[in-house]
Amino acid sequence: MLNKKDTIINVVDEIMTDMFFIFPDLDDDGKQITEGETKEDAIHVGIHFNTDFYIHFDIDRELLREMAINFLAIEPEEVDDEQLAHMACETANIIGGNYLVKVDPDHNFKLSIPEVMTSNEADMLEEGHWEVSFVSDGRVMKISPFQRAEPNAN
Amino acid sequence: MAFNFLIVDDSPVMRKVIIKTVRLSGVDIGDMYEAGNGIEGLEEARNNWVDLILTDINMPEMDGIAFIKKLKEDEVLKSIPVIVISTEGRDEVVKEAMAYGANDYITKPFRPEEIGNNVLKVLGY
Repeated sequence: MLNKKDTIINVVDEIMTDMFFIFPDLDDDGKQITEGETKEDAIHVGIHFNTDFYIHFDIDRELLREMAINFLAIEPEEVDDEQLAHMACETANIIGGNYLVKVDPDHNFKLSIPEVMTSNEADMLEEGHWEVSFVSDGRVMKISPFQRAEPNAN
Repeated sequence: MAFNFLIVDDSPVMRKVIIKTVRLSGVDIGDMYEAGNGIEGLEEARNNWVDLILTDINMPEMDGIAFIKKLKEDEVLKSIPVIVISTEGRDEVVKEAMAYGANDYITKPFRPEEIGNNVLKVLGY
């Protein structure tokens, strides 16, 4: 059985390639690159799984732009900031929902509505337990889960 | 015969994709109505002639399950077929949606032809 990190990598891969037609960068050995840093103007979005589990996404604008172009079948000049924000939320929703199906067989969690946050709000987040990146043509989507307590601990 | 559609999803991006996909499915399209949650969806369904509803589950104010339940309790609206398009692909969510009267279920990520095929099937093409 895959660990949570590999599970999220698989989920992200499937969604990025099947839905957005965007493929991951590989290293010299043909292995997928899963580390990378986003640019300063990346869009930040978060989605809660009840109150104690949270996944944060930092996504490079250029990556979101290509996702929007491919997904909506529109021209590059038609993509605006509002569409990028909506695309970031939808991406968080789809990845969160698919991850939940795989890691929560007991159905303890319920997905929240994704929310875009400012860079300042994102900077105030504590460090996640681990992070993983999807990298395509050098553009990065970084994913960091936060687990505050065990589900149904009380 | 042209069919009228109601798309209920809090994501304008997803509504746009669904509308484009339905338009490509080969179905004769009449009007396309949009709503951002279940409350708006009920309002649109009451105010317009709608032949098929495509709805998300995870939405603010009134989610897709509550929306389907309200729709199917309404004597006038209950005959409108509903297709759920959602990331909530867990068995019990699918079962709940179908138990309340949804006709079909599509899980995100989906391929565009999947929506087209399901729409055609539910409309009896």
